[in-house]
Amino acid sequence: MDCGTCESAPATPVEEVAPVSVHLTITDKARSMLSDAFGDTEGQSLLVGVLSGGCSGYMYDLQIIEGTEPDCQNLNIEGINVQVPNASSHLLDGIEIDYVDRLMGGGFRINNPNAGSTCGCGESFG
Amino acid sequence: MSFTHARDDIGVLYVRGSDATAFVDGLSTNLIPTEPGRAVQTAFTDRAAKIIAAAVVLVREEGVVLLVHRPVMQTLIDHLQPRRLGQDVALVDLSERNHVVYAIGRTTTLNIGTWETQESNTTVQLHQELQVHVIAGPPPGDEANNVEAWTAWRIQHRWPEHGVEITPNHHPFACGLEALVHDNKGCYLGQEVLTRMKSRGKTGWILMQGDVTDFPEQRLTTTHEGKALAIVRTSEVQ
Repeated sequence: MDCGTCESAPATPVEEVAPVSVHLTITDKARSMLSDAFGDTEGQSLLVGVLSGGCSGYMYDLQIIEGTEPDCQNLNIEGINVQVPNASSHLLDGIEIDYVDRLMGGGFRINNPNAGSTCGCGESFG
Repeated sequence: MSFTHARDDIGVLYVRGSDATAFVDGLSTNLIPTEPGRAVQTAFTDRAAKIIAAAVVLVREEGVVLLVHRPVMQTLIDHLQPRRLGQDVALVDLSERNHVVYAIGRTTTLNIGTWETQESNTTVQLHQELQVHVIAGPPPGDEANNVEAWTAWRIQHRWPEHGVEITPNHHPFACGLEALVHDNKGCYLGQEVLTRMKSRGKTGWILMQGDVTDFPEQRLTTTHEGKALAIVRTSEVQ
């Protein structure tokens, strides 16, 4: 195999999707749960991203982080700091972050108008 | 039986970057090992678990190499590109820099599921009797194209071929790729459908080998000297 040039060979051209200015909402229940999770620590944010994979092709990536991630949009939704990577902003514009309080299948849930389908567990969409 | 079979219909797609292994793992049916030097086969499926492409995966330090049927290469690239989403992944088509040759029946010291490179020849031990050689440079033009011997071997070993048994109309269970569907690797595109089929024991179709006369003619996919591969309804064989 021609490995000598593997690392320098040009990648196939990609039509990059332009970042979208994200608008999102957080339900009262989700905001309450996030406030509890943040506690009294200053400078924490909810990172809402998307990774490839999952049953439907894309899966949500929710993390509580400190500081600012590069190449992210920084939002403040009624006191909750949210960061959204530009790379996945086109998939997240218009989402609602909810919290479902039940023993099985509970937790944070994202209602996404961009999703054509969502897998059973709610972690993945396509 | 020992022979080689040139595969100018197989291309080389390099998925480069620190996230490459996880990226391919998250979008295909088999568990992709992380250790460089390992090789597996996997299938990329759509939401309905229909096959987009089957591929041989060579795990490297800097990414993974996919050996892919050339007619579906662009479809696979179009499937993968929009899912990169800021991950450290780049797709590099190395098909014009390498050519692929299958070697059947050669003695080897390689373990199944591993690969090694010596000079410009990368050898993948895919099956006890099947080595895949990825050789730098364009094909010399005089390589053996032993279709007859390859077809006979395929039937004997129930080995499906892209464009014949492996098509976008089939899911992996239907075309002999059930070994590529990992039972507990977690979610990937098409996983819910495949898991449901398997847990209910209803895959609908199955690839079988036998005599040509064992199957209805319309079910035959490959025939050679009275032997055949056929994709038949599971209800027809029970």
